[in-house]
Amino acid sequence: MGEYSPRIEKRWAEYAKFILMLCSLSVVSCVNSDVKKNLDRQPQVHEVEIKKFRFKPATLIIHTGDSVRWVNRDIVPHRVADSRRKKWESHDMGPKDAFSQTIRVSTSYVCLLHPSMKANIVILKD
Amino acid sequence: MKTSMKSIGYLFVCLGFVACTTTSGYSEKTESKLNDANIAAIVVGANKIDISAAQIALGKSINGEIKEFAQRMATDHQAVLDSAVKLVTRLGVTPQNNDLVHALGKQSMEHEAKLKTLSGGAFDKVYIDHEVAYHEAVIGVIKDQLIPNATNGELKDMLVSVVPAFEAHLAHSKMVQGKI
Repeated sequence: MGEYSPRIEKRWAEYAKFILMLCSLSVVSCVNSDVKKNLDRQPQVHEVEIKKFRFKPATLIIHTGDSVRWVNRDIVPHRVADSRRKKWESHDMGPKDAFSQTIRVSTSYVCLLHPSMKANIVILKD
Repeated sequence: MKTSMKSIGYLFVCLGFVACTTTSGYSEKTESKLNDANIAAIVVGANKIDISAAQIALGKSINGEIKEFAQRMATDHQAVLDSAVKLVTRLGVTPQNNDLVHALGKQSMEHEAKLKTLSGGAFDKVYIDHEVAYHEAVIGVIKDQLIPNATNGELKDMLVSVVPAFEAHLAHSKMVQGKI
């Protein structure tokens, strides 16, 4: 059994302080990295083509806050809306017309003028 | 209901007999093989017929589902008609009536005459039942008769491109039929 030494105790205290500082730096670094990753990522715009009475792609995978731009390539009008018809709805898009919407949650959507036309947007988890 | 089924049956006969051999009965006898001018006439006629029926429904029905569907038929078939007329005009193809066009016209007049005698739920039922049968029959004719016989590439492409419209209308008509 060794004797109590104030000098040894002080050294251990310094080690502990050093390790604590390293841990703190590591945590701050991780948090900063995540914040930076999110700040660096600009919202993207994804295009969905409406052609031959279909949405292409039928399933679109995006990040939350991205925008979707529907472009009507058919010769008849289309009107897109989320399936619950509560959150968003386009105007009647004529030929070559487009509509954009920021999407924050996964959703299915339809063409209100042609109910057989259905598609999905899936939000990718970061 | 019996009369409605008879009418629908006649529609299939009208649209189907073009596949038969040489027919007669009209001054401009036609053969089962359709030329581009015949095809243009059938496309124009088929769209006009559905627009005309939709206009009757818009004037007579008080059912929201029927009116919404009829408005869609009027708008979409007018767009297809305008596009088809524009194309055949540019191609220099003059639509030429044949037996099928005459038969379609005759059947359409009979159907419209019947619609005009009906009202309320009976009108809605006959209108939407006929729309389901009509779109099924027209899709069959486009796929089996018009597309294989079209010789002009652009006309053929146009026919291929309108099939999804008729298929979407068929699905829509069946949805409405299920609610009437």
